[in-house]
Amino acid sequence: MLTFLIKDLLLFWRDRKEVVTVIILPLVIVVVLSISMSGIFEENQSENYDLSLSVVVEDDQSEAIEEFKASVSQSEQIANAMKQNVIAGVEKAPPVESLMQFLNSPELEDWITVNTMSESEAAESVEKGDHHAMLVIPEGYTSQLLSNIYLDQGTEPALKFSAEETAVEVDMVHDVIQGFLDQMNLQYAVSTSGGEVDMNQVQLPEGGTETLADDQSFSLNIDQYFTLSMGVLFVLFMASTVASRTGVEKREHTFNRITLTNTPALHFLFGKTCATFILAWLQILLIFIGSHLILGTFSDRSFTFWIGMVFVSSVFCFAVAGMSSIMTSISLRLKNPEAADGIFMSIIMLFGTIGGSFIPIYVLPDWLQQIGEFTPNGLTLAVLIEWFQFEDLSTLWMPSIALIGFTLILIFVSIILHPKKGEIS
Amino acid sequence: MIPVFLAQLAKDRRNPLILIIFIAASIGGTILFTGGTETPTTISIFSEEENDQAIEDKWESLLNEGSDMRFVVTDSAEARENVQQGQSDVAVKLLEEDYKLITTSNLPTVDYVDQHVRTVFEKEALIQSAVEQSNDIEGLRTEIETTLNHPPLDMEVTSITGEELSSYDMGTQLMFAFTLLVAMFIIGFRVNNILKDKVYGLWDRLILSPVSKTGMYTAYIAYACFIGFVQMLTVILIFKYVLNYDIGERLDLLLIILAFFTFSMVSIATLLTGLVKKPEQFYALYPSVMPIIPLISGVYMMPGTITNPVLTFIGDLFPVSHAMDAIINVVMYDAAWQDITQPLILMVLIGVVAMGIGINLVERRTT
Repeated sequence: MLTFLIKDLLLFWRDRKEVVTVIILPLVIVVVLSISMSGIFEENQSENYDLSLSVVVEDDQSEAIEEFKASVSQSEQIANAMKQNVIAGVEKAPPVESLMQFLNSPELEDWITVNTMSESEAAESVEKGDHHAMLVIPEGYTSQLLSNIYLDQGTEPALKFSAEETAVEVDMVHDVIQGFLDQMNLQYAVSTSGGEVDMNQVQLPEGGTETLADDQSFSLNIDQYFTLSMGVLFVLFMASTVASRTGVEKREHTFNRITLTNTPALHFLFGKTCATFILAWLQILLIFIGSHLILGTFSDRSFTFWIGMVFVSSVFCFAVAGMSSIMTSISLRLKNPEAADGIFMSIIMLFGTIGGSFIPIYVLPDWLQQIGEFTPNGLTLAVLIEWFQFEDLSTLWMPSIALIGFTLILIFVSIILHPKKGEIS
Repeated sequence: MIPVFLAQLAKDRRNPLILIIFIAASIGGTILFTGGTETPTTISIFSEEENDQAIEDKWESLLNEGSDMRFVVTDSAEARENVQQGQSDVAVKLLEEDYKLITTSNLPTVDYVDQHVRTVFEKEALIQSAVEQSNDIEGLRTEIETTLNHPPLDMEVTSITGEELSSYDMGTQLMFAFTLLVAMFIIGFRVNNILKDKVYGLWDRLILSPVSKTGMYTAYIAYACFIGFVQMLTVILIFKYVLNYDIGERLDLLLIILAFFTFSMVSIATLLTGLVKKPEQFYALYPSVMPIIPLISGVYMMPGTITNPVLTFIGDLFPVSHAMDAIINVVMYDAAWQDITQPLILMVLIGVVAMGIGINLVERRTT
C-alpha cells in the first residue's frame, strides 16, 4: 500500500514546476494582496486619498449682508426685539464664509486640496482631471439664502456641485461637503424654530467599540483574513490537482499496468487519498508559516493558538483528501478525461465561489452566504476566523465532527464507486 | 488550417455541455450577484438598559431613516453570538443617548456603520438639547423636523456638462465583470487544446500532414478566439434582448472591444500554456491565477477604489482592466471611437507581446 503513496508523492516532487505552482504561488498571492489591499482598508482611509476640489465663488457676501440688514430692519415679520439677534447671528457666521472656513480648515487640509478660481478655469481643470470636482457658489447666493430662511421670501438657492463622472473620490468630496451642510441645516432649523442650542451643553455620543468576551480576543485585519482565506482556497485546489493526475495515469497506461500486477484495486485509491492529505497539510502549513514569517500575520500568538490552527488545518486537509478520493474514483469510471476535469473544475469553482474565496463575499446574497458555510472551505474559513479571534476550544468540536463525517461519507462513496477487479475498461 | 478549425468545432458540437454550462454560469452568476448588492446589509441593534423596549423603538426608526442599511432589533444574546461567529461584522448596542459597537474585526464595514450611527446620534443629541430648554417640547420637535425636510442649504449635483450625474451603476459593471471572467476561463480551456492534442499524439500527426505550422497555430488560436467571442456575444445579447439590461446604445463598439479583449486574452492563455507541459498542469495553474486578476484590476469595485501603484501596475499588465475601462466608457458615458482607442491599443500590445513569447515557449517545449 505504501508503495502507492510513495509513488504519488514522488510524481509530485519530480514535477518541480507544479511544486512551485502549488507551494510558492499561493504565498506570493497572499503577500501581494495583503500588502496592497491593506493600503485600501486601513483605518485612516482618508490619508490614502489625495482629493481636490475647485471652488468658484460668484457670490458677493458683504453686499448681501448689508442688503439683508436693511430688509430685516424694514421687515414686519420679525419682531423688533429679535431683529438684533438675527443680524448678529448672521454676521457672526455668514453661511458662505463658514463653508469656506470649513473647506480650508486644518483637519481637511491634509487630504482635500481646495483651490479657488473662475468658473471656466474650474470646469477646464475638472475636465482635464486636475481636480476631482468643482463647487459653484452662484451669484446672489447669500442674499437669496438669508431671505429664504429668515424672511420666507424668494426661491431656495442651491450650491452647484459637479464632476466629470462618478467615482469614489468624487463621492468622498461630495459627502464631506454634504455632511457640513447637514450640520448647518440642523443649526438653522433649531434656531429658526426658536430653539436655542449651546454647543458646549450638548452631550455628544461617545460611541466607541465594545470588544466581545474578554481581552483574550484578537481582532481580524485584512491581511490576516487574506492569509486564512487564500490558504483554504489553494488547499481546495489540491484536491483536483492530485485527482486530475489520474487522467495522466490512465492515458499513459500506468493504471492498466498497475491492474496487471494484481494489486488490490483500493491500494491505488489509498495512495491518492493519503498523498492529497500529506500535500495539502504541508501546503496549508507552509502558507500560514510563510505568511507569518513574511508579514508577521500571527505574531504574539500563544502555543495553544498554533496547535488549534494545525488541528483545524488537519481536519480540513482530511476533507480535501476525501474530495480527491471521490474525484479519483469518478475519473476512473468516466471514459472522457476532459469531462472529468470539467466536472472537478466546476465543483471546485462552485465551492470556492460560495465559500467566498474568489469574489468578495458581499456581492453574494444573504442566503448564498449561509449556504457557503456548508462547503468544507467555507466552514473551515469560518472556524479559523473564530479560532483566530477567541481561541475558544468549544468552537472547534462541532465543525470538526461535521468535516470528519463529511470526509468519511466521501471516502465510503468513493470506495463503492472505485472500479473493482474486472470492471476496469 | 480550416479543417483543423472545423475539427475542434466538431468536438464542441458533439459535446456542447461545457459551453452551455459556461454561458449559463455567467448569466446565472450575474443575476445572483447583482441581486446580492441590492439587498441592504442588515445590522442588529439591541439594548440592555432597563427600559430597553422604549430605547430600541426610538432608535430603530431614527437609524433606519434615510439609510441604505437596515437596522433590526435583535435579542442581545443572539446579536453577540452572530458577531462572535462571524456571521455579521458588527452589531450596535444602544444606550439611552449613546451607543457601543459590538465587533471583533477591523473590516471596512465597521467604519461605515460607525459613521452613520454617529451622525444619527449627534443629530438627535442636538435636537434633544434644543428641545429640552423649550416649553413646547412636541411642537418644537415637529417644527425642527419640518424645516429639516426642506433644508435651506442645498446642493445640486450635476455632471460637468450640466447634465445629470448618473449614479454609478454597479450592476452593469458586475455583469460585464462576470462575463469577462467566465470568458477568460473558457478561452483558457480552449487554448489548452494545444497541450491536450500534443499529449494524445494528434499534434504530431498534424505536423506530418501537409498543414503548415502557421496554419496549425492560427487554427487553434482562431478557434479559441471564436469560441470566447461567441460565448460573450451570446451572454450580452441575452442580457440586452431577453433580460433588458441597459448596456448603452453602441453595441457595435462593445463588440469591437470584446473582440480585442478576446484576442488579448487568448495570447495570455497561450503564454501560460507555454509555461507548462501537460494539460493537467494547466488546469492546476490557470484557475489559481485567473480569479485573482479581475480582483487586482478592480473590476468588482467602484472605479478608483484601488489606488495602490503596485496593484494597478499588475492589473494593467492584463487585458481585463483595459477592457473594463473601455466598456464602462461606452456603456455609461456614451464614448465614441476616439475615446476608446487607447485601451484598444493597449490590449493589442499585450496580445502581441504575450502571443509572441507564448508561441515561442510552446514551440520549445518538446515532450
